[in-house]
Amino acid sequence: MRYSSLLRVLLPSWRFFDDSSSGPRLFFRTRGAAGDAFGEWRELDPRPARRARGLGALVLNPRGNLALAHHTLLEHLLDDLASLDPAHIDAVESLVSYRLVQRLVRSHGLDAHGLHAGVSAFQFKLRLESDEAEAPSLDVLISSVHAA
Amino acid sequence: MPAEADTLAMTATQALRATRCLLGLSIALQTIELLRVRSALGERGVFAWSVLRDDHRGAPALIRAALDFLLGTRGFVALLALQLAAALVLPWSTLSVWPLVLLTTTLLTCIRFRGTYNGGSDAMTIVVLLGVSLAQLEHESLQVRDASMAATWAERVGLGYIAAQLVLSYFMAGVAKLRTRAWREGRALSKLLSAPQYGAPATLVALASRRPIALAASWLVMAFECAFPLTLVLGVGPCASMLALGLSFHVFNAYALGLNRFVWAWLSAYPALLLWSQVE
Repeated sequence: MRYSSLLRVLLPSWRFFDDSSSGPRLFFRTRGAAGDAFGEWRELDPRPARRARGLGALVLNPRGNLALAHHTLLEHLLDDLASLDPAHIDAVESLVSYRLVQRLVRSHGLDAHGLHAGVSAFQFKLRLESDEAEAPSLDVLISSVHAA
Repeated sequence: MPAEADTLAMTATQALRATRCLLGLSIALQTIELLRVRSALGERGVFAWSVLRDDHRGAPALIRAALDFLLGTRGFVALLALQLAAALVLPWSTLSVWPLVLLTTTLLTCIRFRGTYNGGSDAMTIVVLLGVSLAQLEHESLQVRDASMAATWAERVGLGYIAAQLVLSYFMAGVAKLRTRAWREGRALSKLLSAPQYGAPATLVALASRRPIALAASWLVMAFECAFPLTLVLGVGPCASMLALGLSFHVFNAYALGLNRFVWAWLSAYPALLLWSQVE
């Protein structure tokens, strides 16, 4: 359990957006039959179908907030990776955050793009984008190959 | 009793009633949003309890069984239905049981989502729920309660807690930005607006990519947030003006970043600060 996260809700620090990075981004790629080469990495677009936000979204924005919750999953995975003992890096696939991101790729990457047909496997990666010269963009995790 | 205490007493009751109304509305909207995306919370969705429950592997069996019952797919939908009902009752009831029920369901929702579902808005909702729960504790023991009675200690402490956290929420956010070079240089704002997860309107992204505009907007935000503690000392008029600015700020954020929950969560804390701005 991420008890520290729960503690932050009860004792909030109120530090909104003080981190100037745009956070982790999620990419995935697929392959056809076993033995085929993987296709290009494509970014999993976290947003709901792009529409102008109207006055209604001021009251109810369920899809938008779900998309933000999906992005929070990526941050959880990033935090969990940072606290993972390097000697047990193979335990990454048992992390709850890893399994949730895997489900996210399956439902919002493969299903949403209608990629299940003819796809036998997929892979995802978590990338930290940076425009700072001293901290270049970095793939912090490339998953193992998962059956589609 | 001095006249100003009478004013405070009357306003404390009104402030508490206004807080309950806005908080009930805020939580009702949050709950309807979650119910609208309940397919994502089921076993075929991303947030399947069969995965999330592994977060609690180390907990005692009794707690795990309780969490399975309350946060499994069906249990969680029932919990949300209870939360919606309690949110709708809250404006009309001075019983402390309703804010306590909502505090419990909100905390359980946070546990299900491994911390929060929507970050700061969940935290502010809990702050206001804690304050209202406390403020209404003494209410129940009073046989007769009307607006002319002096504020109870519980109302003072409960509403004072909400007001203090509200001021802190703006001030800490302002100070944290001020300490970040990218915010001082205007780069952080344009980066925030272009982050894909927020889906900001293209016109705003283009505007914020212009350095002078981003710089001016960043400093305006930081100045507003850092100056917010002045609401406690300048009196009710300037406080109301700052709160109007704050509301505009949140409405803009809802439009630009999709953060609609922040509008209602923060608005529900405003009556408490308005009350405390009258204390000399």
